[in-house]
Amino acid sequence: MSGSRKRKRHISDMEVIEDKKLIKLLMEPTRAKIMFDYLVKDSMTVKQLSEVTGKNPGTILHHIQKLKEAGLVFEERTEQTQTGIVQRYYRASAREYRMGISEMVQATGDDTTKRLRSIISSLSVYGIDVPEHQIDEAMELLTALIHRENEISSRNLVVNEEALDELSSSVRGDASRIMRRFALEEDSQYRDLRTNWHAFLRSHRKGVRNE
Amino acid sequence: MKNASFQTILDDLKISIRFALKNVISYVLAIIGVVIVTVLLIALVAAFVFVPIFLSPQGFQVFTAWADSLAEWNAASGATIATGIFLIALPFVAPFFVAIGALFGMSREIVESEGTSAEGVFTWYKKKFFSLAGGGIMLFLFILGPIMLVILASVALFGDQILNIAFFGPSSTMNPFISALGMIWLLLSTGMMTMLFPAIIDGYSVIDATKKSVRMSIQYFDRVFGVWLSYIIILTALILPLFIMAIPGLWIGFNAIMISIAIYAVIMGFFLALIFLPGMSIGLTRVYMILTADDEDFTPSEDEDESGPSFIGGL
Repeated sequence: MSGSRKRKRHISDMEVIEDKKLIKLLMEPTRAKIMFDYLVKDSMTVKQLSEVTGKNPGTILHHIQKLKEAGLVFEERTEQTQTGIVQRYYRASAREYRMGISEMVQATGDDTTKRLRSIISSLSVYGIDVPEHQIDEAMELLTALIHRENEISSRNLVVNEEALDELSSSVRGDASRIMRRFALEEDSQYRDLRTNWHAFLRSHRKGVRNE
Repeated sequence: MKNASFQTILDDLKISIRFALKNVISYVLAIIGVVIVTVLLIALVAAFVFVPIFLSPQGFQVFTAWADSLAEWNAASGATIATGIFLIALPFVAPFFVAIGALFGMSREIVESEGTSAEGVFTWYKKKFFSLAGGGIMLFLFILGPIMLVILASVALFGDQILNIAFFGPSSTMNPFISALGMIWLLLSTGMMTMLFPAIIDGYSVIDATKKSVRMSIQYFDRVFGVWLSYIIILTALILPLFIMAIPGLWIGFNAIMISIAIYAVIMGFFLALIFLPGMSIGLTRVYMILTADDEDFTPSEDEDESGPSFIGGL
């Protein structure tokens, strides 16, 4: 098997997607599966993706091309197998993606709002009962918190990218989470938003009387 | 990996024909489907082109006058007629090249993942229709455009009689020269455009794909032209017996030979359409993918280490 590598490209720790077109692109179930289940973790060929998703190679290739055109996926390397196949390995441009919350609402309309509403209602299983008339308030608090968190998390905190690539994936993941959490704690605006959100949750905990 | 040697080109040919044979059923079904769609599309284009001519006042007379002028070919009107044919042919070649380009899409699936399906051709047909049609027109213009320009420039510089000399002059002087030049240009221009459809299938626009194809044919001249010329040689070798067999009067009275010519022609026709054409598209796509692999860093890829459990919870 002979192969060649694309120029080493940096894979960012986390990317926040705020472009409505990209959000719509990633809402397609097969593309979402390819991206979030596989390509964020490792580089894979069309054949491998076709096997794990159960879709035919042509379908996978079309999705990969769309993702590549959008800059979400890149060709990491090319290998020629013994049988003569020339397989390309594709990889996501980041190890984790988050969608800009307000852009999600704009791109998907009611779907995101319904999803947020459903998340807040589902907190009841943890003993947090938010009455119907306060769901909008909860959504507002949560949206602002997520928005600020995305803003901070998307900043590039890495000072030595080459050394980062040398780390094992589990160590890299843990280190990344520690530093992103640290960056969030350093931000006063985030701390205020989080305090408000937690106060809201606390006030709706079962057994706590609220207005 | 990228440079050509006799062995590399032989391997390119062997692999492409092997893959074409392996996927012959998909290709047969795809070609049948694509031929039907292309015929319908050409009929539609013909309707768009000719129906307004026939319906317009005196349109039919204008058309018959134009058709008659073709029969009365002479140098004076030669350039005008050639330009007319050239322009009218453009919308008709586009559907044909979309069909060819869609086959390149199937070949891409094979080269990249070893498998394809007949219905895959229609996905490429639909998704890349305009790019492939544009590519076809670009190919047509790239190959025949300069020839047309030479004809028009010759007429402008030397007058209409130049066409008489070039095309109808004494065969021992100008004709072989023109034919040789034409043949060289044909081989060169088609060779330079061999990477056009693979590049369009790879997601490039028509203009970018053309630039890429020309650039690759220069940068990897040996590999691109090596593979292209080997297909041309195979094609010539397959067709040549028919020309020899078709020499007028040579085989009169030899019925067995005439029958074998007919049988050979049918077998060859099937081979060209169902094995050679797919094989060529696979071969060119494969060469494209090998040549576009960036080889600045040849360090072998290291496997990602085993991922372990996370100690730090998610955010």
